[in-house]
Amino acid sequence: MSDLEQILKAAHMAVPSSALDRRIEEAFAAAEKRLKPSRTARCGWWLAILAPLGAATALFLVSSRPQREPLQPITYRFVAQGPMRQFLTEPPQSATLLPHFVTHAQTP
Amino acid sequence: MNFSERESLRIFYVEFRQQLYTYAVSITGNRESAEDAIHCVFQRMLRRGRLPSNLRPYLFRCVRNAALDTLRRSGVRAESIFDDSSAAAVAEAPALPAVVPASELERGLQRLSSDERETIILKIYDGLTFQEISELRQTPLPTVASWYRRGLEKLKALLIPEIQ
Repeated sequence: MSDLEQILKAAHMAVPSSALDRRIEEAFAAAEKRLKPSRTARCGWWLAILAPLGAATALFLVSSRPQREPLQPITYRFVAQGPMRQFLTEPPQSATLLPHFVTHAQTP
Repeated sequence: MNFSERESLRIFYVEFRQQLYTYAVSITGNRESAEDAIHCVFQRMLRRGRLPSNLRPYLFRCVRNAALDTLRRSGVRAESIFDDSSAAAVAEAPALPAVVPASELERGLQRLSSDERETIILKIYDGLTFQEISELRQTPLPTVASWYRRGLEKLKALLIPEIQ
Protein backbone atom coordinates (compact mmCIF):
# COMPACT_ATOMS: atom_id res chain seq x y z
CA MET A 1 0.00 0.00 0.00
CA SER A 2 1.41 3.39 -0.99
CA ASP A 3 1.89 6.37 1.34
CA LEU A 4 -1.13 8.15 -0.01
CA GLU A 5 -3.28 5.04 0.32
CA GLN A 6 -2.22 4.85 3.96
CA ILE A 7 -3.18 8.49 4.52
CA LEU A 8 -6.56 7.98 2.91
CA LYS A 9 -7.13 4.83 4.92
CA ALA A 10 -6.26 6.60 8.18
CA ALA A 11 -8.93 9.27 7.72
CA HIS A 12 -11.97 9.09 9.97
CA MET A 13 -15.11 8.54 8.00
CA ALA A 14 -18.57 9.93 8.62
CA VAL A 15 -20.72 7.17 10.12
CA PRO A 16 -24.34 6.39 9.32
CA SER A 17 -26.84 7.64 11.88
CA SER A 18 -28.71 5.44 14.32
CA ALA A 19 -31.87 6.56 12.48
CA LEU A 20 -30.72 4.58 9.43
CA ASP A 21 -30.17 1.47 11.58
CA ARG A 22 -33.65 1.91 13.03
CA ARG A 23 -35.21 2.35 9.58
CA ILE A 24 -33.45 -0.74 8.27
CA GLU A 25 -34.55 -2.72 11.34
CA GLU A 26 -38.14 -1.58 10.72
CA ALA A 27 -37.87 -2.69 7.10
CA PHE A 28 -36.77 -6.16 8.24
CA ALA A 29 -39.58 -6.31 10.82
CA ALA A 30 -42.12 -5.29 8.17
CA ALA A 31 -40.80 -7.98 5.83
CA GLU A 32 -41.25 -10.59 8.55
CA LYS A 33 -44.81 -9.41 9.19
CA ARG A 34 -45.58 -9.50 5.49
CA LEU A 35 -44.41 -13.10 5.36
CA LYS A 36 -46.50 -14.28 8.33
CA PRO A 37 -49.98 -13.25 7.06
CA SER A 38 -49.16 -14.59 3.66
CA ARG A 39 -48.52 -18.03 5.17
CA THR A 40 -51.87 -17.86 6.98
CA ALA A 41 -53.53 -16.63 3.83
CA ARG A 42 -52.06 -19.56 1.90
CA CYS A 43 -53.56 -21.99 4.47
CA GLY A 44 -56.85 -20.14 4.17
CA TRP A 45 -56.84 -20.54 0.41
CA TRP A 46 -56.19 -24.26 0.70
CA LEU A 47 -59.02 -24.60 3.21
CA ALA A 48 -61.32 -22.60 0.99
CA ILE A 49 -60.57 -24.93 -1.91
CA LEU A 50 -60.60 -28.23 -0.03
CA ALA A 51 -63.57 -27.74 2.29
CA PRO A 52 -66.27 -27.35 -0.42
CA LEU A 53 -64.57 -30.09 -2.42
CA GLY A 54 -64.77 -32.46 0.54
CA ALA A 55 -68.37 -31.52 1.27
CA ALA A 56 -69.35 -32.06 -2.36
CA THR A 57 -67.64 -35.47 -2.44
CA ALA A 58 -69.41 -36.57 0.75
CA LEU A 59 -72.76 -35.41 -0.62
CA PHE A 60 -72.16 -37.26 -3.88
CA LEU A 61 -71.25 -40.50 -2.08
CA VAL A 62 -74.31 -40.32 0.16
CA SER A 63 -76.69 -39.57 -2.69
CA SER A 64 -75.29 -42.25 -5.01
CA ARG A 65 -75.86 -45.15 -2.54
CA PRO A 66 -78.42 -47.65 -3.99
CA GLN A 67 -81.85 -47.27 -2.41
CA ARG A 68 -82.89 -50.48 -0.57
CA GLU A 69 -86.42 -51.86 -0.44
CA PRO A 70 -87.94 -51.52 3.03
CA LEU A 71 -87.47 -54.74 4.96
CA GLN A 72 -90.45 -57.10 4.99
CA PRO A 73 -91.08 -59.80 7.58
CA ILE A 74 -90.49 -63.27 6.22
CA THR A 75 -92.89 -65.93 7.23
CA TYR A 76 -91.92 -69.57 6.96
CA ARG A 77 -94.61 -72.20 6.95
CA PHE A 78 -93.67 -75.79 7.50
CA VAL A 79 -96.19 -78.40 6.48
CA ALA A 80 -95.47 -81.82 7.76
CA GLN A 81 -97.17 -84.71 5.99
CA GLY A 82 -97.74 -88.37 6.59
CA PRO A 83 -96.15 -90.05 9.61
CA MET A 84 -94.24 -86.81 10.46
CA ARG A 85 -97.51 -84.97 10.84
CA GLN A 86 -98.80 -87.64 13.16
CA PHE A 87 -95.49 -87.71 14.96
CA LEU A 88 -95.68 -83.95 15.54
CA THR A 89 -99.35 -83.67 16.42
CA GLU A 90 -99.50 -86.80 18.55
CA PRO A 91 -95.97 -87.45 19.72
CA PRO A 92 -95.52 -90.90 21.38
CA GLN A 93 -94.65 -90.89 25.05
CA SER A 94 -91.36 -92.69 24.34
CA ALA A 95 -90.06 -90.09 21.81
CA THR A 96 -87.13 -88.27 23.34
CA LEU A 97 -85.19 -87.32 20.19
CA LEU A 98 -86.10 -84.27 18.25
CA PRO A 99 -87.28 -84.82 14.70
CA HIS A 100 -84.74 -84.26 11.89
CA PHE A 101 -85.83 -81.40 9.63
CA VAL A 102 -84.82 -81.12 5.98
CA THR A 103 -85.49 -77.73 4.41
CA HIS A 104 -85.69 -76.75 0.73
CA ALA A 105 -85.49 -73.07 -0.08
CA GLN A 106 -87.74 -72.06 -2.93
CA THR A 107 -88.56 -68.67 -4.30
CA PRO A 108 -92.23 -68.13 -4.94
CA MET B 1 -37.39 -14.27 0.55
CA ASN B 2 -37.01 -17.01 3.13
CA PHE B 3 -35.73 -16.70 6.69
CA SER B 4 -32.09 -17.62 5.99
CA GLU B 5 -31.83 -15.18 3.07
CA ARG B 6 -33.29 -12.43 5.20
CA GLU B 7 -30.72 -13.19 7.89
CA SER B 8 -27.90 -13.12 5.30
CA LEU B 9 -29.09 -9.70 4.21
CA ARG B 10 -29.24 -8.49 7.80
CA ILE B 11 -25.68 -9.72 8.45
CA PHE B 12 -24.56 -8.04 5.23
CA TYR B 13 -26.03 -4.74 6.40
CA VAL B 14 -24.34 -4.96 9.81
CA GLU B 15 -21.02 -5.80 8.18
CA PHE B 16 -21.09 -3.31 5.30
CA ARG B 17 -23.27 -0.45 6.52
CA GLN B 18 -20.26 1.88 6.88
CA GLN B 19 -18.89 1.05 3.41
CA LEU B 20 -22.28 1.41 1.74
CA TYR B 21 -22.78 4.73 3.50
CA THR B 22 -19.37 6.12 2.50
CA TYR B 23 -20.02 5.08 -1.10
CA ALA B 24 -23.52 6.58 -1.15
CA VAL B 25 -22.35 9.88 0.40
CA SER B 26 -19.52 10.09 -2.12
CA ILE B 27 -22.14 9.98 -4.91
CA THR B 28 -24.96 12.07 -3.45
CA GLY B 29 -22.80 14.55 -1.55
CA ASN B 30 -25.53 14.48 1.07
CA ARG B 31 -25.72 12.26 4.12
CA GLU B 32 -29.48 12.22 4.44
CA SER B 33 -29.95 11.31 0.79
CA ALA B 34 -27.31 8.61 1.15
CA GLU B 35 -29.25 7.07 4.02
CA ASP B 36 -32.47 7.28 2.00
CA ALA B 37 -30.76 5.50 -0.89
CA ILE B 38 -29.50 2.68 1.35
CA HIS B 39 -32.88 2.31 3.05
CA CYS B 40 -34.64 2.20 -0.30
CA VAL B 41 -32.26 -0.51 -1.59
CA PHE B 42 -32.79 -2.72 1.46
CA GLN B 43 -36.55 -2.30 1.29
CA ARG B 44 -36.49 -3.36 -2.34
CA MET B 45 -34.21 -6.31 -1.58
CA LEU B 46 -36.57 -7.51 1.15
CA ARG B 47 -39.45 -7.55 -1.34
CA ARG B 48 -37.44 -9.59 -3.85
CA GLY B 49 -37.91 -13.31 -4.20
CA ARG B 50 -34.28 -14.41 -3.99
CA LEU B 51 -30.88 -12.97 -3.23
CA PRO B 52 -28.22 -12.97 -5.96
CA SER B 53 -25.31 -15.36 -5.48
CA ASN B 54 -22.67 -12.62 -5.30
CA LEU B 55 -24.31 -10.15 -2.97
CA ARG B 56 -21.54 -7.59 -2.44
CA PRO B 57 -21.05 -6.17 -5.96
CA TYR B 58 -24.79 -6.46 -6.55
CA LEU B 59 -25.75 -4.43 -3.48
CA PHE B 60 -23.08 -1.82 -4.11
CA ARG B 61 -24.45 -1.44 -7.64
CA CYS B 62 -28.00 -1.08 -6.27
CA VAL B 63 -26.83 1.60 -3.84
CA ARG B 64 -24.98 3.36 -6.67
CA ASN B 65 -28.13 3.42 -8.83
CA ALA B 66 -30.30 4.62 -5.94
CA ALA B 67 -27.76 7.31 -5.02
CA LEU B 68 -27.54 8.48 -8.64
CA ASP B 69 -31.35 8.70 -8.77
CA THR B 70 -31.31 10.83 -5.62
CA LEU B 71 -28.57 13.01 -7.08
CA ARG B 72 -30.59 13.57 -10.26
CA ARG B 73 -33.62 14.59 -8.23
CA SER B 74 -31.97 16.82 -5.66
CA GLY B 75 -28.87 18.13 -7.45
CA VAL B 76 -25.23 18.29 -6.41
CA ARG B 77 -24.44 18.97 -2.76
CA ALA B 78 -21.17 19.04 -0.93
CA GLU B 79 -21.20 17.06 2.26
CA SER B 80 -18.05 15.14 3.05
CA ILE B 81 -17.51 11.43 3.33
CA PHE B 82 -15.15 12.24 6.20
CA ASP B 83 -16.12 12.77 9.80
CA ASP B 84 -16.55 16.52 10.40
CA SER B 85 -15.17 16.30 13.91
CA SER B 86 -11.97 14.57 12.82
CA ALA B 87 -9.31 17.12 12.15
CA ALA B 88 -6.91 15.12 10.10
CA ALA B 89 -5.49 11.90 8.87
CA VAL B 90 -2.05 11.16 10.25
CA ALA B 91 0.50 10.33 7.63
CA GLU B 92 3.38 8.04 8.38
CA ALA B 93 4.93 8.53 4.99
CA PRO B 94 7.99 10.80 4.87
CA ALA B 95 7.13 12.15 1.40
CA LEU B 96 3.84 13.59 2.64
CA PRO B 97 3.08 16.01 5.47
CA ALA B 98 2.64 14.37 8.87
CA VAL B 99 -0.93 15.53 9.17
CA VAL B 100 -3.38 15.87 6.30
CA PRO B 101 -6.61 17.66 7.24
CA ALA B 102 -9.73 15.76 6.31
CA SER B 103 -10.99 18.86 4.52
CA GLU B 104 -7.92 18.79 2.25
CA LEU B 105 -8.49 15.13 1.49
CA GLU B 106 -12.10 15.90 0.65
CA ARG B 107 -11.13 18.86 -1.54
CA GLY B 108 -8.56 16.72 -3.32
CA LEU B 109 -11.07 13.93 -3.96
CA GLN B 110 -13.61 16.42 -5.28
CA ARG B 111 -11.12 17.61 -7.89
CA LEU B 112 -10.78 14.14 -9.39
CA SER B 113 -13.08 12.85 -12.10
CA SER B 114 -16.13 11.02 -10.75
CA ASP B 115 -14.77 7.70 -12.08
CA GLU B 116 -11.41 8.21 -10.38
CA ARG B 117 -13.00 9.32 -7.10
CA GLU B 118 -15.50 6.47 -7.08
CA THR B 119 -12.81 3.87 -7.79
CA ILE B 120 -10.55 5.18 -5.01
CA ILE B 121 -13.42 5.15 -2.51
CA LEU B 122 -14.53 1.66 -3.50
CA LYS B 123 -10.98 0.32 -3.33
CA ILE B 124 -9.68 2.05 -0.21
CA TYR B 125 -12.72 2.61 1.98
CA ASP B 126 -15.05 -0.16 0.84
CA GLY B 127 -12.37 -2.82 0.32
CA LEU B 128 -13.61 -3.98 -3.08
CA THR B 129 -11.17 -5.65 -5.44
CA PHE B 130 -10.56 -4.31 -8.95
CA GLN B 131 -12.48 -7.33 -10.23
CA GLU B 132 -15.49 -6.46 -8.06
CA ILE B 133 -15.33 -2.78 -9.05
CA SER B 134 -15.12 -3.85 -12.67
CA GLU B 135 -18.30 -5.94 -12.22
CA LEU B 136 -20.05 -3.19 -10.32
CA ARG B 137 -19.24 -0.52 -12.92
CA GLN B 138 -19.59 -2.96 -15.82
CA THR B 139 -16.27 -1.67 -17.10
CA PRO B 140 -13.16 -3.62 -18.16
CA LEU B 141 -10.74 -4.28 -15.34
CA PRO B 142 -7.75 -2.42 -16.94
CA THR B 143 -9.90 0.73 -17.21
CA VAL B 144 -10.80 0.48 -13.51
CA ALA B 145 -7.14 -0.03 -12.56
CA SER B 146 -6.20 2.95 -14.68
CA TRP B 147 -8.84 5.19 -13.02
CA TYR B 148 -7.44 4.19 -9.67
CA ARG B 149 -3.78 4.79 -10.54
CA ARG B 150 -4.48 8.11 -12.29
CA GLY B 151 -6.68 9.25 -9.42
CA LEU B 152 -4.01 8.54 -6.82
CA GLU B 153 -1.36 10.34 -8.88
CA LYS B 154 -3.59 13.40 -9.24
CA LEU B 155 -4.48 13.35 -5.58
CA LYS B 156 -0.85 13.18 -4.51
CA ALA B 157 0.02 16.08 -6.75
CA LEU B 158 -2.90 18.06 -5.35
CA LEU B 159 -2.20 17.35 -1.69
CA ILE B 160 1.52 18.04 -1.45
CA PRO B 161 1.68 21.65 -2.77
CA GLU B 162 -1.45 22.70 -0.91
CA ILE B 163 -0.21 21.65 2.47
CA GLN B 164 3.47 22.51 2.21
